[in-house]
Amino acid sequence: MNPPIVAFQNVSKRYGNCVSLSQVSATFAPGQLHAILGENGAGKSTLMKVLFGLVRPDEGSISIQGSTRSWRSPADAIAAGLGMVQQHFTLVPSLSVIDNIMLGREGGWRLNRAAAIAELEAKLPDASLRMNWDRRVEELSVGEQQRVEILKLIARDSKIMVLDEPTAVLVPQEIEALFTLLKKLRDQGRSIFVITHKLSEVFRHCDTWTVLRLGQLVQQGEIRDTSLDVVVRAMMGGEPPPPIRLNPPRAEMKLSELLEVRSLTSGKIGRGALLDVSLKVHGGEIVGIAGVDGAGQSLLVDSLLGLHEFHGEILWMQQALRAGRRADWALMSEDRHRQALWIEESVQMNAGLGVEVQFCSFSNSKTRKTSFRTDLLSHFEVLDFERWGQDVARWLKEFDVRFPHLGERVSRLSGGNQQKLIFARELMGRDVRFVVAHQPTRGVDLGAIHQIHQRLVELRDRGVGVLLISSELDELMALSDRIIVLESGKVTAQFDRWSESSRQFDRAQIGRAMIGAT
Amino acid sequence: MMDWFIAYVESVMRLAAPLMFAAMGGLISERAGLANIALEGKLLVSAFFAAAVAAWTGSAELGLFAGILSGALSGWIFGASTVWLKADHIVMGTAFNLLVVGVIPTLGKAWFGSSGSTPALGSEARIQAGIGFFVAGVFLVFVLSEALRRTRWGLRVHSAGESPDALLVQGVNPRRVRIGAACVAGALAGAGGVVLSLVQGSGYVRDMAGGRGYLALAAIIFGAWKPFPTLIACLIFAAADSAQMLLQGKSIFDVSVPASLIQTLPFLATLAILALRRARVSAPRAINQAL
Repeated sequence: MNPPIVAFQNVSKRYGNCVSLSQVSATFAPGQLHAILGENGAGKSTLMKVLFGLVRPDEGSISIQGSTRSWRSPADAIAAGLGMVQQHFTLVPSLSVIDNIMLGREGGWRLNRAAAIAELEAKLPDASLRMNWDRRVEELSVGEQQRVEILKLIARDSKIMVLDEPTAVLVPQEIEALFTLLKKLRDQGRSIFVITHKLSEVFRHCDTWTVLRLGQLVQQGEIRDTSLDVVVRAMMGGEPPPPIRLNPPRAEMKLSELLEVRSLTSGKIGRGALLDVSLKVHGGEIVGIAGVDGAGQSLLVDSLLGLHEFHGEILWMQQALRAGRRADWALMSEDRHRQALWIEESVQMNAGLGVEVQFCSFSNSKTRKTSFRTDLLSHFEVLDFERWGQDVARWLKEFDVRFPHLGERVSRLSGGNQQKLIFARELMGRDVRFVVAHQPTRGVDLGAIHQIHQRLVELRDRGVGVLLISSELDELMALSDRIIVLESGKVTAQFDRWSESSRQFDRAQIGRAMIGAT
Repeated sequence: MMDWFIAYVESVMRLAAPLMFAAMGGLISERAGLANIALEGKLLVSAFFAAAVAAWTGSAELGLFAGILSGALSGWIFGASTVWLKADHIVMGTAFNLLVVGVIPTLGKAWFGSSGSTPALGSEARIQAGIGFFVAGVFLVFVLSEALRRTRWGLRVHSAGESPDALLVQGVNPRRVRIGAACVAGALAGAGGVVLSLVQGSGYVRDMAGGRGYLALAAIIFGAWKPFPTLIACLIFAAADSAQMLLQGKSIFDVSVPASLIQTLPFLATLAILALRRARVSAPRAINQAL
């Protein structure tokens, strides 16, 4: 048995009253691919940031290859052979690939790019990793940007690599490619830590697993002697929830057509444009939109919301939709940090934004829930912040959002709690008849995913129409009544869960339609 | 006609020099992520100290040195207050400009008995450079453009302005990069101030920067934070300024235009140019962002 490459001894970290890590002790063998698992807020990222010197622990110590070390800054950790790929990439978008890789280790006051490229290429585990070194990072896809981050670590000869949620932003093909690369790096003798939520990839690719929950180490083990059930139970601290069951739709629901899109064309060819897309959403059904990232999903949503120009027609209850988003729509947007939240504002503010007419001192909540339009006078009404606080506190409790207090900045909440907060605001503040859920579970933990899925199905059963756009095929197949596949902006296939014919859900067929092979 | 034209070109070159130094200084600090609205104040401070030291010592060289040093020090103050104390850059810059308006007359009164100006300098305490500073300024643009693209310093300055976190995780402290850039920026703006009081003028005169710090800032924006386009913008502004000086007191098509109206020419040019420019304006992403 080799000595552990990394060992934590009684590591604790608290932020104010919030315990992030409590007495974590764990050891990791060298030359393996370690999965660090846990729900959001379990302390996975904090533990890895302690390892990389970005967070200083209150107590406890780390040892690397048997010798105890303490870092003053990431620079010390880097010098000791560590490297970390953050969840939000730390690249300079306007610089070239090679400049990003050279940054911090330029080797002299003059930049010698040719020498840096030669040095890097000599270190690559395989030639397929070569890229156009002079391209600017902002022109690269997310998957390619991630590869640049990993190349930065290779260039520095990092022996210990940490990747924080590397697969959250990748499509299935890219995930496979990433793990192929990570295994090659492991086979060169490096030790690799991957923080993730997605258990299927852990079981396919990783060597060991470590589960944290509420800041404490729950369990560690080898993947090959473990079953999925054991890991899920460790993560959730109890029995996993039963899978979602979709009941057949009631007959009367099918009649109420809510949204109709007729030959929608929008955007520039080649940039996620939409070409002649038609679809309908009825009350009481979940319509799933499948497709690889950039197949036109974003423009579809933007067109519905009136954020992008389009040709064609969008009808709401048989009438042309004029002003974009309606007050009786709930929206969960793809980019929650930019579109759905005012990220540096308080929980209270965020939970009431957009529905604040409800908290006007003289408001008659029944009429206000269904309309954005208000009479002139109401613009000058005073907001009743006490009521605002009370109401949103009730909504947030109902949706099981965990937050320290209403005044906390929403950026301090975990992704799952942020998403649940958005869901609470969108559903509780309005009389919702239609939901646009764009990647509603991206970067969200298992427990929260289950809650969000359950809510969507409840809404459907109440007669609300749901348009669910996701790149997770499992999610779409579990929840949708119908699945429409978008490929390069066109509808290439439609599937119906309840049909008797060959158009029922079939994973292989949907997958083929997604990549345009029929 | 020819004489007139040569005189005009020479005047453009002379007026462009202080603008170019201030703009290049501002460009460095903005590229490093520090919004630099304090250029005007830095021009005034360095013009004053250059003139004061030249007046005491009678030495142009010491005056030049004092001007650049006072500029660098102002840069350091600006950098330290925004980086370490996390002051908002615009608020800090405005405060600096306002402070200068009060401090210089106070010092002038204490040292020279005149709140508005320093004593007129003899020729030995002035710098007889002709268009020398213009040539130096063009050279500076070349050097800066190369340095930003081909040196470690350029790479780090660029990263500090675009994505300071990228520097941090590579083990480089972006705060140091920003403060360093602020000092260099101050020194360059200081050279611009020296041109005002020791080359073009003979001593410090109240408010002698006359808005050139703001023009330099406009030139940086027009130049999309790139050295050569910024140089072009400086030349355009200097041309408008020079035309303004030529036209003052002359009647145009037999209409005598008030001098104060003519004096607005450089600023009208600025307004027109910035409004007409349709290029993708790309300010450094992390500008005015605390670290």
